Amino acid sequence: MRHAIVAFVMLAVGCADVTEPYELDHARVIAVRTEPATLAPGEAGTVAVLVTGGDGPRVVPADGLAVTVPAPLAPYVAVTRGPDGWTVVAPTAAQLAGLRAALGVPATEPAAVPLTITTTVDGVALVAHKWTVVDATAPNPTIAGVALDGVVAPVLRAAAGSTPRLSVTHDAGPAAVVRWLSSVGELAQYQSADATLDAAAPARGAIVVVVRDARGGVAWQIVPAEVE
Amino acid sequence: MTLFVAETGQAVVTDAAGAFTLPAGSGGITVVVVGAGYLDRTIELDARDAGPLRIALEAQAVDAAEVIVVEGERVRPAPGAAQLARDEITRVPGARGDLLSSVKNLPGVANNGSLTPFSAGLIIRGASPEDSRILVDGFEVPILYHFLGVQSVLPSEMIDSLEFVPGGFDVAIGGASAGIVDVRSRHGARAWGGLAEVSFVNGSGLIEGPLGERGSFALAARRSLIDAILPAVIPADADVAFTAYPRYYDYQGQAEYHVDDRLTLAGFVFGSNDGFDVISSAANSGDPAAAGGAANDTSFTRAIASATWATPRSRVRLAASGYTDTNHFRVGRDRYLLLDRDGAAARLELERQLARRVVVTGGAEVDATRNQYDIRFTRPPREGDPTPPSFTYDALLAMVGSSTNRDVGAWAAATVRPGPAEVTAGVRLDGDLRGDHWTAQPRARGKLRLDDATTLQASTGLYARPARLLDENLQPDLVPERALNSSLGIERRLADQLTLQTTGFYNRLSRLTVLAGDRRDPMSEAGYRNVGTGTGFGLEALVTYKSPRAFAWLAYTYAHATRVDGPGAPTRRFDYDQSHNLIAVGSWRLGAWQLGARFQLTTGKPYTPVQGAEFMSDVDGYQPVYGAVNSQRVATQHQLDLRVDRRWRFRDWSLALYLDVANAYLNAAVVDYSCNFDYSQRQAVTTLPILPSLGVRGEL
Repeated sequence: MRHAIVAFVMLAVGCADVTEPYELDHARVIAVRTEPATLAPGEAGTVAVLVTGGDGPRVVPADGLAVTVPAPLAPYVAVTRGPDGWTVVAPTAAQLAGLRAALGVPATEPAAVPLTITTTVDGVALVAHKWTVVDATAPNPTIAGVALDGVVAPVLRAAAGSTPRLSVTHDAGPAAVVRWLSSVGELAQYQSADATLDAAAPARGAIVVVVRDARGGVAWQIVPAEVE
Repeated sequence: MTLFVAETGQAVVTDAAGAFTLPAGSGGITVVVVGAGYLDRTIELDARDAGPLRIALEAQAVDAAEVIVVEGERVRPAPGAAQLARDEITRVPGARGDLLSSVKNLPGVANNGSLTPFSAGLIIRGASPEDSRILVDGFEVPILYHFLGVQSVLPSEMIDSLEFVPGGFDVAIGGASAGIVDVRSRHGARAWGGLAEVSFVNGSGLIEGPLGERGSFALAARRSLIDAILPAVIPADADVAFTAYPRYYDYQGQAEYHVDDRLTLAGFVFGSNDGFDVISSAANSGDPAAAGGAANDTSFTRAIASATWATPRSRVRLAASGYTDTNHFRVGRDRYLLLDRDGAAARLELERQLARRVVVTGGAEVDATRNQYDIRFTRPPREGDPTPPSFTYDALLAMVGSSTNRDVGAWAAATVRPGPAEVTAGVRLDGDLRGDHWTAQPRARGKLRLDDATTLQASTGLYARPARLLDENLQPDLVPERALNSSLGIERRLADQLTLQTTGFYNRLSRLTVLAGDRRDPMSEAGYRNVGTGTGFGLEALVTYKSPRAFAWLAYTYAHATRVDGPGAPTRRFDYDQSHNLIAVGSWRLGAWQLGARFQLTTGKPYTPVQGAEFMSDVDGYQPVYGAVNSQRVATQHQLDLRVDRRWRFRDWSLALYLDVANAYLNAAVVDYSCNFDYSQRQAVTTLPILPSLGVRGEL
């Protein structure tokens, strides 16, 4: 019995990252957001997707996305692409029972719409999933500012060889999950509200912060950064 | 040397070469072999044993080099079975003198490397490590090796014999659907003696001597030295800090007393402990809940007492065991698995020769185990599940409680020997009283001596393994997994010093335990189901050469093992499927020097390719997209091990120095791949590029 557990633990904790998760060096999805974060029955929300790739972090335009829901949910959830981008319309109150039945969710649990987003970045096909809860309307959190050593500026500037602190001001509450990403320097504690930038060598790029709240709400901010 | 026939008092003296001739009898006889400087040895023979016979005598001191092993026709208990000679095995390069580690050099055992996540168990004939049992004096021990296979839990000096049966074992053993490793503890010598040994791996000591007028004892202990070495090799700027460095220890105490010529009392107490506690400040982006470190505290104790009453025609052994097991694991800050077991078991073995060509055996055993658990952990990965465990995203098993397992077993068999043939048939009944599961297991095997040099053997039978692996034990409705195992083999003496043994096997598995649902889906609490099936077949060959100055063997296994994870599921390769495994071992004695080499060439382990990953925005993680399970293999593995022994003899003691180098030409073989956080890159998990062990050993 023991050898199975030890092997299990080694597999779990012994996997080293080759590319660090804070790096913005290759094509991948960073976050998906619906606006508002949770939808009231019958309410419509828009879908936005933040990606990174060779051109750095950016929000994908609507014509570069495809948003779908599983076929069994099509009678209850409408997903369309219009001039304002991709829109998802939550089921009405009368349709919620059908949605729950299709998802296998009991009546006591909140229903959520699983969205599948596909896009292509740098020739790489990417797939992302986002669950949007159907309940009372709730907004996404907001980011008031991103600071480098306490200084908020349109461009974050650090001296080469310094290790300034990154911080974010948001309204996502104490349960918020903060993720930092950067194409300059190296980041430490990038999974916490306050990260540290190791600005070893001169570089230009961007720093991204993503804040997630407990209701599925998402906010992000892309800030140009320079190490001089 | 002198051989005494107990029934008649007749004495036979060997000639200068050690040869002897015993008179043929109509029934069984008991032969006592006595020689100055060696332990007395008692052997029971009957008329069917007519023909060449070789008897090994052990020196009174624990000098393994003085064990005389004489070749002979062994009566194999099953096709493919092997009994290991300690003087050879302890000199096999790469095994670091460890008899139990050398089992991996035999046909039927897959190469799972050393010091890798896959190397801690024995993979026998395409079966999971949990499908085989390791028995010491008839009772199971939970583990065979310390720390992922670096060293076994029993030192070679405390082992009298080790029988490895990869399949087709008789009805006296239950609870295993693949193979068994049956270890008999070694009693101490009547003369005072001892040894001390220090190597890079561990330090050990042993003392033995007389116990009263007719008994002996042996005490031994061993402790790893890695915790003394690690502080010197871990970089000062590493982001890990050990609260407890990895270490292990084990201990053994054995006593035996011959009350009279027929009754022997024996006791064996032994135990093992492995542990480490590491704190890490490194982030774990792929599995944040696993960040912070890990700890392990695993131990077991066994106390076995037995009484054996033996006459030329009968043998009765009654044994009882008390035991404790501790398995404590912690990962991250709040993921832990605390399992404690304690219990008692008893076993009665009976054997009686009813007539000249008929022997009957039977027995019964009971085992009661109390399990206590405190768990906040994910479900462990199952065989065939490529998804790496995640302490963050996997559904949590969180429970505190206790349970009791009560297992009973009984068996009976008869052996008849018409002419050159021998047929044994029997049945075993195992009962799991907690789940009320009963399994009858008929088994049979036969042997036919074709000529003086050739023996044909065959076996078939039903074998069952109870569902007791990790969280299987939480689900008493699971029935035992089953295996219908069959084999056919032939043994032939090619020349005086050269033998060939080949065995073909076919195993059909059913009722395999499969997880119903997604391990990562918290809504998927369907648990396990006995819906899996599988097959394993292959061919094993072993050529051995033995002379006074050298020994060598060539072992080859071809195996193919597949699994089906339920009705309608596709057939896939077994996780440890290994098509080819070739091992060549040779050792030569040149005066006071002994030189050895071992080479192994094996097919790479199967793995499941990752074709991509999908981003799960709400948890900021990636879900891998896999290709067909186990559809690819890592590269073929090859390894050369070397060993040099040098011995100095003095009047009352001897000193030995050895250098054992595993993986001498630095081939860090790939055993698997691990992926980065978004599965866009992968990294090879390799064996150690080299593992040298330098040791010194003094013996009285």
